[in-house]
Amino acid sequence: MELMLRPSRDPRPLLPLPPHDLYILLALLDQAMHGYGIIQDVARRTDGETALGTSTVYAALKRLLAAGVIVETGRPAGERSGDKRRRYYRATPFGHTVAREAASDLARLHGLVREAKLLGRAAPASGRSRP
Amino acid sequence: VTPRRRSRLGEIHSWVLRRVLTSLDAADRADAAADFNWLRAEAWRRSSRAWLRVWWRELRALARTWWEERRAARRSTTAAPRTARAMAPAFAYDVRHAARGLVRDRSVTAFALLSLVLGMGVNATTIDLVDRLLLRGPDAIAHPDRLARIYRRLDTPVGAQTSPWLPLETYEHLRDGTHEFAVVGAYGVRDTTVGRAADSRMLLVGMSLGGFFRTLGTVPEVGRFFLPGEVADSAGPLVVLSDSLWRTSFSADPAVIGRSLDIDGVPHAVVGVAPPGFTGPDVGRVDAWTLADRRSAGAYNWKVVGRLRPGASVASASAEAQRLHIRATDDEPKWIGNAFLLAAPITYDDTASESIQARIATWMAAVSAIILTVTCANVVNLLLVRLARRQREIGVRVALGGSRSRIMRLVALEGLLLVVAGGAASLWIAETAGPVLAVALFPGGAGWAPAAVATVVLARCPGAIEHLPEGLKALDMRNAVVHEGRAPGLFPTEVTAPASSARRSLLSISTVIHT
Repeated sequence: MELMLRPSRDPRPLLPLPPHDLYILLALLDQAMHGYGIIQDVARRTDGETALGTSTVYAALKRLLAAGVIVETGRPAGERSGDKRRRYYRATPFGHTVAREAASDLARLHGLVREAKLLGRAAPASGRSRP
Repeated sequence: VTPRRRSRLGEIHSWVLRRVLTSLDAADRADAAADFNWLRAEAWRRSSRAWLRVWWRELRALARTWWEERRAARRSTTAAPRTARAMAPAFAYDVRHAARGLVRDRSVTAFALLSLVLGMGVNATTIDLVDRLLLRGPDAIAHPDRLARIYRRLDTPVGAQTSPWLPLETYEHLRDGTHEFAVVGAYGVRDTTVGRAADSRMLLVGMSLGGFFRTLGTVPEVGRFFLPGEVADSAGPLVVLSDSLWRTSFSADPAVIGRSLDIDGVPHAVVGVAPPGFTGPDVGRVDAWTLADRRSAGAYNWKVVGRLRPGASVASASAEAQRLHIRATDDEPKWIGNAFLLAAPITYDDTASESIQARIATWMAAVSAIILTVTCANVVNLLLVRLARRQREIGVRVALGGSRSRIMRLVALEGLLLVVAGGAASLWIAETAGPVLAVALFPGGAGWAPAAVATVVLARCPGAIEHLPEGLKALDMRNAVVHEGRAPGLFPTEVTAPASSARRSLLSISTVIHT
């Protein structure tokens, strides 16, 4: 019997990801975390500018779980602090794909913003940039 | 905040989570509550401000999440696209159903419609009058708020007397010396014989001097107005017709310019036609405008109006008029020497105070607003009683799967149809009654309208207010929701309806009208 490759899921219907979902996904790309850890990780990454509420986090986790972007996992090895009953989450391979697509979308958007010179870059003296 | 109180706050948070985020399962909610406890404890260690910030952030997040989940749930339950085209058939059906319901219940509909037409009609009429008398100023005048009229105030043994009538000399001093006014004109209106022999009749003819029409900034409908430097001595007797006189006596002939009209037995050449509704700075009717000659100008007193320069105000114009008057007292008639000159807006009456018409109109506007409120209460009351009678029908609809929003839409559409029909009819009332009320408001006819309006309001207020709670009680939609598998209309309710439909309608109307 011939093995068939399972067709990969298309991440496009999930995009654009709401900002909070993207923050959470970024936090779960490299390591498994529980809800409180996610809140702290997002606050650390954004220098305290983005502080997620617990309801926001758990509603987003529920959405991402349902979409197969993240998965519930066991307590990571070496994790000693906190409640043993806590549930941990990490990104699935599909979650990595979604994060990459979301990142490339953002990069494209960033490129457009740079072209429009909205970020305060001084224009060249000649008024025209070299190719 | 003591630890005990903190734990009580945690319980409140858990309760809110349970009530608001129903989509989360118990484990998620427990995790969220535990996380929030940690966040609070950590913030408390930092400062009470940080603790408050955590609470504020959490409550905001809860509200946002609740809203997003509600929106998502709505999107998922309504699979059919909610476009106008997709919803049009259901909407058309609801409109037809509402119209049929109103036609079926003719007596209630007729009474509600009548109430609305009267209430809205009176309002539209009075609002139009208030707009004209208080806000907009006389018709066909450019920026009437920049016009001012000059008055004289004389102290007499019986008190101060204010009047707008000034001698020609005072007008000429103001015209020649003013800096506050861009242009000044004078006018007066009197009863005059117009026409020849058997066709002659008494009409109101205005006489004007100098830049009267330029002051008003009015644009003629046909031909031209008198020019600022024009006087009858050199130009001959000229006349500008009002729009109504042009239509009645000259059949709105566009070639009327140059034709002759006898005024006081003197043939006047027609030079122009004023726009419709133009009555000069006053609100009363004027049939024609003539140009005064020097002899007649000296024989009459005049009302003087001026257009304020940019930056000038009525107060500064007042001060300037008095200064000019004091300087030229020797050249003016002796009787005005002791008078004090002042300026006032042209919406003011002959005593330089808010006109009696404007006061009546304001009063009527207030009363008509009350009438509209009472009318609305009446109609709402009537519709509520009608709705209470339809509990059985609504119960059946709910039992058959009719959504709450659809049923509310049906009920709302009936009200909307009534309002649309009532609004259309009230516009007709306003068109018809407006001129009648305007005539009644002018000197000689005032007095009846406020009394009539007040009588109606006083007669109807108690009935509407006392029965409102009864109607609200009857509406209690919870009675209309299927309860224990049976339609609610089958249960006994507090509203007992007579058997006959006609009698029921009459009872509804009578409960609304009378106490």
